[in-house]
Amino acid sequence: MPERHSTFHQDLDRIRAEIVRLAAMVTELIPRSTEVLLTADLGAAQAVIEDDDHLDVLSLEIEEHCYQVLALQQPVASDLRSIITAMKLVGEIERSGDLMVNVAKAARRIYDAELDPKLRGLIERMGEEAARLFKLAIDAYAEGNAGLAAALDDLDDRLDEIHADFIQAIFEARHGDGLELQPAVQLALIGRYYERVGDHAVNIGNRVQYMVTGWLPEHAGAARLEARAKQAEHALHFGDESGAPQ
Amino acid sequence: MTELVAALGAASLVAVVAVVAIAAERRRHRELAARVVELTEALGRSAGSAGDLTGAADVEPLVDVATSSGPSSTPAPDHPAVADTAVAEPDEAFEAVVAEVTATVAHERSLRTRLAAALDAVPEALLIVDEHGTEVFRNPAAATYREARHGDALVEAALGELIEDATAGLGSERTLELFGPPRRTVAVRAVPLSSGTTLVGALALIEDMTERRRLEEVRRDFVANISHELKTPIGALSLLAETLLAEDDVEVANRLASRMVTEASRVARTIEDLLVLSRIETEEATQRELVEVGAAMAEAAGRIRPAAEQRGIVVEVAEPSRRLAVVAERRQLVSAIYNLLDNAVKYSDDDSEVRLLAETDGRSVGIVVEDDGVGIPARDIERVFERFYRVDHARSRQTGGTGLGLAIVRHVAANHDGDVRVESRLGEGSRFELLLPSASGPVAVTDEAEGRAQAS
Repeated sequence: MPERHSTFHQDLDRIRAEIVRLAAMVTELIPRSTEVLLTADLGAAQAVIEDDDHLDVLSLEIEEHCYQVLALQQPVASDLRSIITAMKLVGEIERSGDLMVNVAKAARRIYDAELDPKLRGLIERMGEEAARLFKLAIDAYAEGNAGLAAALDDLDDRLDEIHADFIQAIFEARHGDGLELQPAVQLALIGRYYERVGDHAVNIGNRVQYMVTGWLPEHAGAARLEARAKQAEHALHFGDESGAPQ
Repeated sequence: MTELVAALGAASLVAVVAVVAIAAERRRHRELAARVVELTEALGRSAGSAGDLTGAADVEPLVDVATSSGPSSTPAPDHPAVADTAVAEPDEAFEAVVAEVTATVAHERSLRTRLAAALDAVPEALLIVDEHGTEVFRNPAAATYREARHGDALVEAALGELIEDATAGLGSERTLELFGPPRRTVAVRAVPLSSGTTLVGALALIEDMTERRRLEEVRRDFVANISHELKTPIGALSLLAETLLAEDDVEVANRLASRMVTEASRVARTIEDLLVLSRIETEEATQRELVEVGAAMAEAAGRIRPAAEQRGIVVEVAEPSRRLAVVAERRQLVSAIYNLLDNAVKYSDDDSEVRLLAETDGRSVGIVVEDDGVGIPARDIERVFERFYRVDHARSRQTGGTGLGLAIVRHVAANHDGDVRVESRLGEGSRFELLLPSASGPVAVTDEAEGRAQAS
């Protein structure tokens, strides 16, 4: 029995290392795609798009390892949560990678457009902020740090603010220097990609909290729903008006 | 590249020697152990025959002989002859072997300690595995790549793959470009280690190539840029001159001539800046004096104002305390401040503002130039102090700079044991700070220095 236990922990360590590696590929991809976009380097854009396949392959491998561990070791409690978290994280990380590949693809679409320095500066900042959040999320996971994981939601506010400034700057550029509609729309999408990476970092944080504590923010919502359902039921039985859902 | 190969070669040689030496010592050790067994058995046999003589009843001392090495435990004293002739020879040999083994073990230990210490001292990260891929040695520089995160996790993964290949007898190399931040170039290399024809393990090396790459780039770009900066105006000059030769229309000839003047002055400026730079580079700030920072700032600002006013740019000077002073070569200091201002004005929009101020933390004085101009992209920020480095070639042609201003600033800072720092954001502006050691103590500018500052 103790022997089997140690194997399980070796499996778990391996999966954790693989997740960290997958995430490292994405944290590298964020500044890389940003540079592709700012330098309008089409060759580098193509390389980013092709490299995404490595990310997909590793994602599948990790998922496969998780299934194996679940089937062979049948973990329970926090061990089970670790495996489930790993499976969920693969999705979050892989999706974030796809978003950065989208940035590289968008670089091809706005190749001709000349971006004013303000827009370029804001893109740079969104890239830095998204990478920072993503790194912190992975630090939280690798360390099992629920406090850091919980803080990510607040840390994401800064990226949201820069994103809002960026949208504003797109409008200004449309009015001022006559930024074409097509690149303007592309830029708005690009802003959204960065902002979404931040959201994925927050999701990773939530999953890490679940891994450590067994609690998810969605539990609060579920509790509210249940409370409302009870009130509604109560109203049905006793005709109490106050029990109606708000 | 040759340096890399040499460094890798040297490090791998050290490791190979280490592994081979350890393997050789082990083999020797094994041989010695085999001899010990052999001799012990021989000893047992002769002791056994001695026992036969004394009779089966008295075997105990013989067992003693076989298991311990002391001469005190020689067998039955009533049969000295047998003990002396049959046993004495292997006993001496046995002791010699024991001494040899002890010495060998001690030697091997000290060798191993030294080799480990030597490998620890190698600046490259270094990892040795046995033929099954199990780690046997890792120097402190390689500790970073264990359970690594972010960029290092990718290096760790590459390391694992290369080691796997190497233990299969296949050496290979991989270079990783990490975007960080900070940006890094890391070379990972693994080679199989063999003793004779058998594979005994693998050696992996990780080397940070960032600085080397950067220097290569600087050198390459410098040569390309200097030829560009000098060739373009000279090419233009010769074309203009040719056209002028064939031109009869006075008006056109005048226009051509004035263009020639512009281009000629452009070359002249570049060469002049190059000379200034090389002078600052070669001779250190020899004629140092106490310079009041405020006066140097005012002088530099006065020089830039005409160019700034032409474009409606206001140069705002926050006058520092009169006690703020540095020990510097006055001309170099003014030239550095002027170049920072020149740069700020060039990369600012018309009708904007450039701010010049000075601050101190008691130990050093920071002279700050701020603008609200185009800013510097993050990827170029480390390189703007290089000679002729241009963020945007198209724009530099318009602004008419020589591309040497910031290089001059950096050298002035270096000459005065100072530093120059830059913070910038695209579209928001830049902030350059020239840091110089403050003149010691609570500075009271002498009347003489003050007089000189006002005079110039």
